[in-house]
Amino acid sequence: MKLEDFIAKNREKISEVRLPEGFSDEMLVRISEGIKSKKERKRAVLRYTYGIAAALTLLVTVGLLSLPNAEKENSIAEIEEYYILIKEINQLNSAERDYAVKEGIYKSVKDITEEEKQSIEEQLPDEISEQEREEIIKRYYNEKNKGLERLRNFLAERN
Amino acid sequence: MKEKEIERLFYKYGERVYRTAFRLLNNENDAKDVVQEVFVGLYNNMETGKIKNIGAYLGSCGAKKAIDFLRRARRDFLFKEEYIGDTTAEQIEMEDDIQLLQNSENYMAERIRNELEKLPDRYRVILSLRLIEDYGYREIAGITGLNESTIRSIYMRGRAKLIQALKKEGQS
Repeated sequence: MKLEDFIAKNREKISEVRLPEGFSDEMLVRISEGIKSKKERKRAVLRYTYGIAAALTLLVTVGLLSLPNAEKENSIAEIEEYYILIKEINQLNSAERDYAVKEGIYKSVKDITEEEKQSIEEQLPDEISEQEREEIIKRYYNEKNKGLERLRNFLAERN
Repeated sequence: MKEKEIERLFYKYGERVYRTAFRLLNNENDAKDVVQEVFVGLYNNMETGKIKNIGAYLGSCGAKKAIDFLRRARRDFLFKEEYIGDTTAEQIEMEDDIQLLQNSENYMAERIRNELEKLPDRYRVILSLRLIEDYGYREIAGITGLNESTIRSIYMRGRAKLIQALKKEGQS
């Protein structure tokens, strides 16, 4: 008989390994501890990541506010609402416990708020009137605000 | 909820993962470490929902982690080039020796198990994966990161050593 044939026929007997005493109890405790420590590490990374994201959002907001024409531009209600919504979403999202939801919200906000290389204000031609300029800006932020509102309401309902 | 699922899967597959790891590592504590790593890793991967056959996944995961463990611990030169080579004529001749297996099956099974445990890591690992875990050469290549011809070479040498050991004991 070939070695392979014998082992195939008697695999169960040959593969017998005696389990250590209290194997299941010990392993369940170890696995549970392992999961707990992994979760803690994940939370720490998340706290760090969202801390950075919040700081960046704040910096961008402050930067925009301190631009030369900021006072005038922010007098447009839609722009003011835009920043308020971002702030509210950040606050609500920091209380969110589901990692997947948290990440989804973070990505959606990033998609909505990501600026083009040139801001909408800079893209507008000088020839248009002040009124037309204001209308375009309002429409632009209105669209963004609709998306942000949906995210804020979604988070508010969860909290 | 997910912890409960892990517990259920542990009761179903935990012993199997331990046995595979123990056979490859030949050490109780190291095998327990592997079991812990496998199930904690499973907890994270469950989110992705990509695991189709959980039993097969855990089996190969346990084997891979045991190999990683050997690699990290550098317990043996499993991956050294010097093991790539053909078997000698003497070894091939011994491959066909079946006289050793004429004793009672239980006794022979116990002897094979004991002799497998005594083999150096590189031979025990490949022989266990091939003969006990029933993996093909390609699958073993995937698990160990070695190429198929190297695995065949190690397998043939290990097989010859195992038969030689069984023969020696049978004669004494």
